[in-house]
Amino acid sequence: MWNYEKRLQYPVNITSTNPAMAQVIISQFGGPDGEVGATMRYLSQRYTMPYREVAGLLTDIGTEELAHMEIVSTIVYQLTKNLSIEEIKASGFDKYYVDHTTGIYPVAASGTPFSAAAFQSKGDAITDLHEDMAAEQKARTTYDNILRLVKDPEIVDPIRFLRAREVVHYQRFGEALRIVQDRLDPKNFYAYNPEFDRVKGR
Amino acid sequence: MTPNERNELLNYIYTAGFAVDDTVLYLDTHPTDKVALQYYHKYNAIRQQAVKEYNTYFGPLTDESVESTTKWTWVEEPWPWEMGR
Amino acid sequence: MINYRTPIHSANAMDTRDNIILDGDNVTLYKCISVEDMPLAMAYVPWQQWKTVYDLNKALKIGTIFPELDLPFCGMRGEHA
Repeated sequence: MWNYEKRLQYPVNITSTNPAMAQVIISQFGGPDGEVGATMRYLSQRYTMPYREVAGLLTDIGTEELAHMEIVSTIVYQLTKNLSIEEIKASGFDKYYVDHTTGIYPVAASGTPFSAAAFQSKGDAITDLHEDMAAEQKARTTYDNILRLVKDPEIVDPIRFLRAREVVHYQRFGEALRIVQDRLDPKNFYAYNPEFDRVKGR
Repeated sequence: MTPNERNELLNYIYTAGFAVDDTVLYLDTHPTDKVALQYYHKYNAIRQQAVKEYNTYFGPLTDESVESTTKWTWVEEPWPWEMGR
Repeated sequence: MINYRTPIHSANAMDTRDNIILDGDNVTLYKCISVEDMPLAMAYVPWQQWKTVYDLNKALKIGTIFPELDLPFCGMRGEHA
């Protein structure tokens, strides 16, 4: 089960209003490669993972992604505090505002709401870990793209932190894949699915 | 406790907490790494002590660490997304 | 660039956790095999080993305690922060 600690994993203190930037950054909340998807992906995959270290890693990274979801939401919240109607009209944020005011809601920058179609839980250890490695790279690229668009140091600071975590997570999922390989027959890693297939004859 | 001491405690909670977070992931894939385990124990102890002191002097960081018997202080301190946390 | 034709036990060879050895100083050693000997049609990320870590404040700022995983975005070719 989950406990909650009343602090962010990394502090966020944004003193300026910037709804245009909020609309871009919200993609790391509810977008296709954002933190909601990451959390759901890892926490869903862990149940049928037959290797304890890998189930542990999926649980721990999935939990950390919840904390990242909180950081991204906080960034969007602080960027859209005390918005004036003029700022809303001028920034293009009006399309989000009309449906959500300044409430935080999981969408991509395009306005597409979060969908479970953005992630997979395939029930195969090798496949799911490849999915996870790809997910971390997609998230990293999204943060790279955000870093090209935003220069305000108060926003760049937590974004850089979140991006660094993706690189670390990629390394860990890569190591988890090595662990799975160590438990399978190197003559043919694909002979069976360790999450499903039984021993012959049973 | 002074505001400076509050900031110092918070700094330990953030930094030691993060060191533990990163080490936990490393240990998940390197469960027999003794150096990593030593590092985990060292900074987890620092983190836990800082959290304990913060709970006592400044307010609960979890809903299980409310100390007041007269008011539900869990909902008093600002939430993390408000400025300053 | 990694030379995939390097011989076994070279620092550039891929590693495997086979025969993890804990010696008297509690250091985990890894046996090295050549990338050429690894099965095809599979992805291999090298094993990280615990070396020196950043001090607490720097680690939080950067986003990892591990200097080897500190790979920042520079947005420009040929530049390394």
